[in-house]
Amino acid sequence: MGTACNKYIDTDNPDSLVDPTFWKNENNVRAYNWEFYNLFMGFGNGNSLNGDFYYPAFTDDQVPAGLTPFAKTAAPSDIDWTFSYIRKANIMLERIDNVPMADEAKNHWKGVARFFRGFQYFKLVQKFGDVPWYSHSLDISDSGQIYKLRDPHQMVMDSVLADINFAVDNLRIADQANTVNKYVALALKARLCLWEGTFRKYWKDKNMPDQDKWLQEAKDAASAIMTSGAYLLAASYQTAYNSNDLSTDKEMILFKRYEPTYLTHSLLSYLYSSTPIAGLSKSAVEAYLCTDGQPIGVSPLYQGDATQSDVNANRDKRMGITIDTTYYYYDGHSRNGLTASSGYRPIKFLPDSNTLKTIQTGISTNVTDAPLFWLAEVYLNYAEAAVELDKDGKYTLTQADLDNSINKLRDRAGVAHMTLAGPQDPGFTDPKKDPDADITSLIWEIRRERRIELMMDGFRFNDLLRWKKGPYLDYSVNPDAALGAKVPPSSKTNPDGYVMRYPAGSTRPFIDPKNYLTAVPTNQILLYPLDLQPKMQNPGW
Amino acid sequence: MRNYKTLSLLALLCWLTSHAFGQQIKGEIVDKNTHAPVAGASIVVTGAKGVTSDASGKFSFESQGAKFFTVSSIGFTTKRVTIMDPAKFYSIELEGSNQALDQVVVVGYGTQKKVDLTGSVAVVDVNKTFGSRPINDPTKALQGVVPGLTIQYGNGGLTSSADIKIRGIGSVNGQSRPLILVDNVQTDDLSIINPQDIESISVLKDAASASIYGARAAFGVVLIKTKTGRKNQRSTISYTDNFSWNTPTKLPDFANPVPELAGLSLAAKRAIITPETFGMNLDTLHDAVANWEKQYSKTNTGLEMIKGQDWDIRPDGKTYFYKVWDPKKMMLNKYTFSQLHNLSISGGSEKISYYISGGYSQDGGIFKLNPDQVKKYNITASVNAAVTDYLDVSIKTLYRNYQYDYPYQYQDYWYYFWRWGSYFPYGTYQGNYFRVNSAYLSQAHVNNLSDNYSRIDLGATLKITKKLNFRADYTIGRDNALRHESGGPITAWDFWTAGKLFLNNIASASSDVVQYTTGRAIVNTFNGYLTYQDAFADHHLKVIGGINSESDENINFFANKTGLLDPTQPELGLTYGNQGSGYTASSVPLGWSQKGHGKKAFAGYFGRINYDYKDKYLLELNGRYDGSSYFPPQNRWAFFGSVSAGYRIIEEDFMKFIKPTFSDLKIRGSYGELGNQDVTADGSNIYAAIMTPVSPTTMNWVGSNGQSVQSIAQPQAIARSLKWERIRTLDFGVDGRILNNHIGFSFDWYQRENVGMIQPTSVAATFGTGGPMVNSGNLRTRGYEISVDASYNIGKDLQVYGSIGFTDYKAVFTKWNNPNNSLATTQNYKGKTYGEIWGFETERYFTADDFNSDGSYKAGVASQKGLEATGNFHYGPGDVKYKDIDKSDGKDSISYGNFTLNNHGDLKVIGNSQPRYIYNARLGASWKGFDISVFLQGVGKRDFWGTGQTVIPLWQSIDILYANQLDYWTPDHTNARYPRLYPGNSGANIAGLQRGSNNFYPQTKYLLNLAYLRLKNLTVGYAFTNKLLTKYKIQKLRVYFSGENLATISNVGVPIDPEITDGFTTSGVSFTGRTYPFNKNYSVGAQLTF
Repeated sequence: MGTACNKYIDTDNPDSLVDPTFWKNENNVRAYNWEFYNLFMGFGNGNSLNGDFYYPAFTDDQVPAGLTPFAKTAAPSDIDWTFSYIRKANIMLERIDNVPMADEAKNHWKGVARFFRGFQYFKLVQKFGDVPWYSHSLDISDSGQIYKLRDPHQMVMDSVLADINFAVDNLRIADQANTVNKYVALALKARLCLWEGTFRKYWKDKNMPDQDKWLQEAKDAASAIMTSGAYLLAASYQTAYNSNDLSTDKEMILFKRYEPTYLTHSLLSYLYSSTPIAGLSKSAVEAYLCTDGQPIGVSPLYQGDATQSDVNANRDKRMGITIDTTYYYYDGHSRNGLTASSGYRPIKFLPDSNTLKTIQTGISTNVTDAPLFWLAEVYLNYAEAAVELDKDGKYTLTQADLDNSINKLRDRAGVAHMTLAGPQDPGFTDPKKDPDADITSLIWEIRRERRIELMMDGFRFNDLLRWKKGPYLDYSVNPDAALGAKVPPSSKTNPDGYVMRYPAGSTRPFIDPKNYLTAVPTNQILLYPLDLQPKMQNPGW
Repeated sequence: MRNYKTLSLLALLCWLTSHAFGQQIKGEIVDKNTHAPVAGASIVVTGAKGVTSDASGKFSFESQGAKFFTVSSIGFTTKRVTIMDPAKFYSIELEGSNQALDQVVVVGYGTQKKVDLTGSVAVVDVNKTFGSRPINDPTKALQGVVPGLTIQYGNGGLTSSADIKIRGIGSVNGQSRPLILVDNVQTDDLSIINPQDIESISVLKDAASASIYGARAAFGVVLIKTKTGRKNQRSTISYTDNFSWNTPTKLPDFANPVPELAGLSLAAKRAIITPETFGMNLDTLHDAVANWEKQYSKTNTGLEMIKGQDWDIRPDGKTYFYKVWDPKKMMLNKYTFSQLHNLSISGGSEKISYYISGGYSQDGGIFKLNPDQVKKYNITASVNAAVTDYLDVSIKTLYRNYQYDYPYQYQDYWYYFWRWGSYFPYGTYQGNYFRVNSAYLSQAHVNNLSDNYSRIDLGATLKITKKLNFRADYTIGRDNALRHESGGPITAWDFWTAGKLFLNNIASASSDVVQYTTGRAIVNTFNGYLTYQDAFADHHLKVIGGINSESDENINFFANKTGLLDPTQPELGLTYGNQGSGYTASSVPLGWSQKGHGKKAFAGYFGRINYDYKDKYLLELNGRYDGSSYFPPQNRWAFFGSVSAGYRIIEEDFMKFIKPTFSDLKIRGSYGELGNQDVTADGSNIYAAIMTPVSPTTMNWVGSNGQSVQSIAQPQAIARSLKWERIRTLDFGVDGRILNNHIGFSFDWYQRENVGMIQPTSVAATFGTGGPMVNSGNLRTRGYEISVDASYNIGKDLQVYGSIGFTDYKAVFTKWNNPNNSLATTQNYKGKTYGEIWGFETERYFTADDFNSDGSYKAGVASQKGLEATGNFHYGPGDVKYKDIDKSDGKDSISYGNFTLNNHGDLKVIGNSQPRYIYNARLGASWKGFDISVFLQGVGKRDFWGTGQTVIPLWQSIDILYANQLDYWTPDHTNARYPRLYPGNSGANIAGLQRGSNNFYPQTKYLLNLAYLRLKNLTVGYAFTNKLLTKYKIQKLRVYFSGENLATISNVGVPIDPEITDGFTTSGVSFTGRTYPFNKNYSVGAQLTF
């Protein structure tokens, strides 16, 4: 047939965008890319109560208002078992070369696609362990690929590292303001390499290689940010959490912007509602150091917990920013209609008291910006990677390492510097230190620093996972995780007078290894060939 | 091929007429039926000599001593006339040849003699179908006329659109609509045509007949030709009109509120809910209404309601209404009125012919307040001119203006009309209505839709040689639609908030709006084809080859603003509010893109070869290399072919013995395959990897400009293997005529298979997006069609005729990917008959004997505990006992298993929603000037699970009980139509089964029976005889009475029309019957021809 006729019928509805003709220029690529940013939860969206901050239930830091046991049986479906952004990224990678633009631009956008593919896989591995790795988009006929067995954690994370390295190498130093760039990629790299390095180290039975390579990558990536001079620690610990505008905050590497009309969250309205708020646990509050840099079990400055002012005396400033230190909120002891589960009511995300009158208490009205990648976390990643390398004999930790990282956070928190008294030795041993021989006092203190700095920031469960410290979540192993402040004894306190949110004897058993990973949703497994089905589920489910 | 011979003889004889000699034979040729002169008839004398009749039917020629001559004209039976007395003036009456052997049938890009047809083609008798009926839309008139062409209307509204199918459903995707062509141009909406302008309709049912049209014709073709003038035809002016009065065929009756309220109260108490409606206690209301009936029913019969008598505000502040109304009388017109007028002028000279017509119709709606109304104007004009001996040109224009006026839809008026009982306040207080339907309807703005459709066709025929000619047509079609809608405030007494009565604006804020929807469609069509005919001894050959192309662009958009500054001037510029959100798909005409701008294009190279040997062995080959923009971009062209063959066994010597009885007998068969391009409901292209914008509400990122970023989602997955559906049709048929041509019959058996039917896949999440469409299903339809026609003259004046059509078909899924064999209505499974309905078998009502004293089931009585929906419903005496079919579960209970084919408990197939055994019959007679015609139409079997309060008592809550629903079970009335009352039966407790719960799970007893036999049309006419009228040069004057749907035999089970399947739908639940009713019509009309 003549081309004229071919052309004649070669038409489509102009009101639809169609692949692959959509891929015309960089602007279209950018438009396609924005949807990836939905992966950043921040404080949540609209009226949802599922942001990264505050909401996670499985930590030893907060006491959920209702007892939250681990699921006993595998759920039929799970919205997190999704590969939609993986396919989206793969299609982007497959199309970019055909978009007329400079190689620099092509590489940048490939870097974006690989950044988000890596980011999504990192989330999948943290939640589900082994997951199938897809480096290209599939056709429905590729059933062998769609229904393949999951690829091992190790293989997937090795691939994630390749993605993030590509992103680091090719992303622009700055594209548009507050978008994924080279430093964001470095920050993600530091985060995920530390996670993976320590995972490989502490999950010994997995026999995964290269733990030190990962730790080194983490340390290097963090170091690259720290030495770049591009970012500066904010003066206040709270700025990152309660600002309406983080765009001028030099500590921010990437943040989630909230604006009236366009995107709001409900974290503040939730925290200001009459709902019992998941307060900090006794375990968390007791983890805060005294101003001398010593834990409460060691420091002479600690006044005990008989009264609230005793608890507050001479403590890390971050505690007073994180919880309300003027009043204990618990069942039967509310103020201004506000209450909490444990006595220690979180206030870290709330505007300061001067603006309390104009706070946004309506659902879906909150517009404080949420940090996604910021310098404080980079410091923590640096310090921890360094101390782990030091422990492995691959690096010699120096006082300068600490001074350039976590001691900057301590300066801000009004806590004395951490000093190296010797290898893996901060000069004291916390009586509450985990008896695990692998955890030196120095590692314990650096982990503490991380816990305190990132309190309620959504890192804790995944930290416990990589350290293989799930039992901290078990109330029979770690009773302090379910307890709150010391208050006048009542039926709602334990015999020692600590707020007891749950009836006596309530527990939250942590089953190893079952509860480290979420079950692969059963409705999905049922779609697989019968012989594969038994191999699709995580251990213990 | 007789026709061909005639034509070539005619051509030859034209040369010879000037050399005629001998005796002069004179005469006149008229149509036996109409007495109109027949122009252009050919008069042939043996020995290759002949002439044609002139415009007034007159002829003369030299006899040359011939003994007889033959008179023939297209559309008439050829007549042989013996020359008895040369001096005689021969008055020859030609008989219409609809039933004759040489009837010519319009087929794709040409015509064919009916006896030579090898495919399955049905011809509509246009005169009988459209002649004297009060119908302005051809689709309506076509209903039930052709076996195999099913046309269903779900309601009787003025704008109700038809579901048109040939041989039933062909695919679960798209609409399985036939390709409807008017003068070879695709015309989805036939209402643009004035029925009076139709010349012929052919229905091409099998692949062999349809394949010349390619992928759009996968489910057959309806081929319509409009009238043009004929050359050598006397000018005629005809005027027809029709005045029609229409009234609903069947409506439920509102109950007397006294027993109704007693029933509602019983139900409320059983459910342990407060027995009240709008704050009115049902028992108190019951007594008060009874009191009103006793005291006041005779006195105040006006609209204004008297406080304290007809209604009141009780001491507790609640507003009560006592007066009993006749809601149908208050809200509906007893009769609506329609009228039709048509004027046409046609004629032709040697060189030029013309046809001009204008039509007007008006239909009134049924609501009394602010009724809706359709007005339609049609104008067509065509001219044909013979420019030279070898070139004919033609132009044809068609214009249609359609105007629909309707009240603003504050709410669904039918839903609320039927929602509450006759004690609701239909009247006024202090001149204002209460907050019910009448308040809205009386004050609603009249909204309107106007649609202008115009079409111009330019055509030319080039006679290259005597055997070869070329025809080309270029058609430009334009459609412009404009809809203007506006709401505004409604002032009424609001009694909905119990406690006080306010005179308020009761319209919702969203009704404070003005909106315009407008759109434009352009369709350009080109057809060009060569036709070659030849004969070699006994071999006859006809070859057609050509090209067809169509491009189509449609644009539609919507503007909406809230906040009317002056509600009486609802214009976009006179508002203070915001721009509203987009339109709904329903406001877009069929075939238009629902997203605003659609484009499509089709093209094809087609060809057909007809060959016959001695008119006995017939062979036809069709092919089309077809291109469609609906097909996948890399694969937009495909070849579709078909073959059909016929054997006119009657022509064999060995069949001579049946000749006295049979005048024709033919067996035929055909096979062909077509791709189906119609696979989406919304006109989108499923082969394109469409990338949709991410909805702003789900995009959670604010960009550097402080606003949400706009993103594009990943492309939807398209399976690499995705192909179009392949529709294969195998057809066998027998045609014959017996008893001296008086009776004709035709029989077809067919199998149509949709191979590789498209279905969505479910795929693991690892795929990364929703499962794409794949070709994994097969659907097979098998059926047969029978038609018989007969005509007979008794004596000189009495002519009788009749026809019968019968068809039945069934579609079965022979393949479908449903691994669990789920029976959910959204699923199919291998072996499923399309349309099947699952449900329980109703055994009887429970009696007290079925239960122990503690309410538990007695031993041996299957427990229905598992079927108890939420609330306080517990099965007891008077409730429906479902039959325990599945004894294998051993649990002695009524269950639905896991609702799969392998485990469906006591559920079974209880019916099928597809019509079966569809038949029609026409009987007619004419005697002198009188004529009578009766058209019956029916469906032998069809089931339907209706939902909603009109068909199931207390579907929702204690809203209403209709008169027929008062027949419910009580301990004293156990032999009732309905079980013990309980409100709220709309549950979807068995996921995937059709809705209904408690006593009203889908079940045999309450399954609606939509079988019917209907007197679709009865016409009685009288034509004044010629002699009476010649004085006024009137050729014909006929007056008639015509009635539609005058009588119906049906047993639906509830008082609704058997053709109604629609109803107001909310949240996926249809309230069957709450829609425009079907009408019966009484009409009178006249036909006048000068």
